[in-house]
Formats: sequence, structure tokens, C-alpha cells
Amino acid sequence: MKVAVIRFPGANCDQDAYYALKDDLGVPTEYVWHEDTSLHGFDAVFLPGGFTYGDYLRVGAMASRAPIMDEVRRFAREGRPVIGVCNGFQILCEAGLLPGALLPNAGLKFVCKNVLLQAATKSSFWTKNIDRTLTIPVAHNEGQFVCEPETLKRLQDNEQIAFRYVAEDDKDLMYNVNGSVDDIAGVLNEQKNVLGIMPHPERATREILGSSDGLEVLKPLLEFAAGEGLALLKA
Amino acid sequence: MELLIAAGPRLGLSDVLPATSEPSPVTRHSSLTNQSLPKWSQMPTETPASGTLTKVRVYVTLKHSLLDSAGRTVAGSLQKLGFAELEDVRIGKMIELTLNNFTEERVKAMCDKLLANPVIEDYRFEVVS
Repeated sequence: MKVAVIRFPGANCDQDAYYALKDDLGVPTEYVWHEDTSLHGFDAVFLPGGFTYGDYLRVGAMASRAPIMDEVRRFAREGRPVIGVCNGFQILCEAGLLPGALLPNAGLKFVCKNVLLQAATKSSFWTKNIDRTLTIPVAHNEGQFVCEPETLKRLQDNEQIAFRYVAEDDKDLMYNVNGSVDDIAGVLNEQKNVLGIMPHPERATREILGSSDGLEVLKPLLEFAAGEGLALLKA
Repeated sequence: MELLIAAGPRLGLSDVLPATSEPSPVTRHSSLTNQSLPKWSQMPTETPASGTLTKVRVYVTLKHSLLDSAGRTVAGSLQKLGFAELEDVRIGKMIELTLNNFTEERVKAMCDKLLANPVIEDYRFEVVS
């Protein structure tokens, strides 16, 4: 089991992801340059956050057309784990690997804070073991998940909504920090092996960072390492 | 660049921006033939014969079914300035392309492949010169 962290120009969470996966989760991890054309020898892909290509034109637009994305598409097709965080989520949407798109936050402000998250489905290997509310930070300007009403209905019916923002109590009215439709913080593709998530699990992998709940989101990669995931793939 | 074109001799894009455009066969070996190269003042004043340049403006707008938060904020501000007749503001992008050998299909392909995201945006374009 080896995870590829794709490096794009302008990404700035690639090292966070690399060390979180390698040291805190304990799964072999290597960087792969966006202009490379092969993911041979890898089993999973992590698309890190940042500001690829300066967020010019649309967030994730240019990065989603990078040469390595053909291989990411192959991984998605073959049912291997693909996770995109923040800008990585935006790239997966722009690449057409995930439904919907991410618009500027409804409040028009960059939001940088801890949020509360709940897994919204048990039907994916990414979320099936997450039973409690997670505290994970967000840091984004374009995190408002939008899609056509028919698409939303399909996501709800197929259980493709992976995570939702949840309120701490009834006074917590701003829990959905970006105005995402249906409080969506993370979505899955139809096959449920591709996960896009706005909060940063790789920034919450040890207590000194304020939370280690991010490990819950990344743990399925370990299961793949142990071979359980491959069985999941076949099932 | 607009000024340069308007005031001086008509230069093609490749004359104005030699470093960023595909080098012509003459400039490609400039280090060897530097002596024989014409000076800036002697550059050809006509658009290169390789093709006519066409300027196309692409307008990319957010789909009407989506809330345009920035547009709504601007609308609120304009209304506070006394423009009570204002019903709505939508903010979009204008992208100007300068093309050799313009064809509608190629510009459409550029929009479909990169310039607009069909999930959230519509586009249209017009030839301006």
C-alpha cells in the first residue's frame, strides 16, 4: 500500500498531507509531480489543498487538466481510494470525478476555524466506521458546495453525501460555514471510492494540532494497506 | 499594449510580445544571427502575413439558478446609493482572446474544455475585430 500525494504549482498543503499520512497515520507515502503521467506502484491518491494556479479562472480549473489527472481518473474508475481535500476537492469537481461545484462562501469571507462534522452515510469505506462527531479545521474561500436540484436528489438517494456540517447546539446558527446546500462538507462519486471534503483531516492528526479527529477520515487508507479495502473493492 | 497599437505602427501580437509567443524562425536562432536582425524601429509595420488576428470576447456568467453572493452584495450597495430601480446584479467574467485563424468551433471548444464550467456557468462569445 502506497499513497501518492500529488504536487501542483500553488498547492500548499502537500507537506501537511505527506507527513500526516506517513508519520501520523503510518502509511507509505510519496509525492508525485502533476506533470508525471504514471501512478504505477501506488494504491491511493491524495489531492492536497492550496491555491493551484493562483485560483485563476475558477478554483481547481487548471489543475484538473494536468497530465497526472488521467491516472487519477483511472484510479477512480478502478475503485481505488482517491481523496481530495479543499482545493483537491475543487479539482476533483472540475475534473468531473465528483458531482457539483464549489462557489465562493455565501458570506464572501475566507473562513478559517474548526468545524463539527458528521459522517452522513455508512455505505462507503470512507465513512462506515465514523460514528461520532469530528472536530476538523476548514480554511477556504470557495467552499460553498452547489449542484442542480436533480443532482442533489440523486446524491441523497444514492447516499453519496459523505459528511455534513453539524451545529454544536441550537444557538450555533453559523455551523454551515460556507452556505453549502444541504450542509454538505464532503461528497462521494457513484462508486463511493472518490471522496472530496472541504475540511482538512491532514491538519488534525495529533493532539498538539488541536485535534486528532482527522485520522478517522484517513484511516480507511490503512484498511486498504491491510488488504481489507481490496476485499471491499471486490464486494 | 492597447496604447502601443493605437498610437504607433500596427504591430502584431508576436511583435509586441516576442518572449511569450512562439518564436518565429528568424528569432529562434537570434544568438547566431543577431547582427542581421532588424532593430525594433525597422520591424515590419504590418500584421504578419501568417494569418489575420481576430479578437473574440467570451462572457462567462453564473447560471441563473445559482445565487450570486457577490452580485447580491453589489446590488445592496447600489440600492443604498439611491438606485431604487435596481432589481438584480449578476457578476460574470469577460475573457478576451486574440486568435490566429478564428473559427467558431475552436472557440467553443476552448469554452467547453476550460473557460466555463457547465455545472455552474453559461457562456457566450462575440467577435469584436
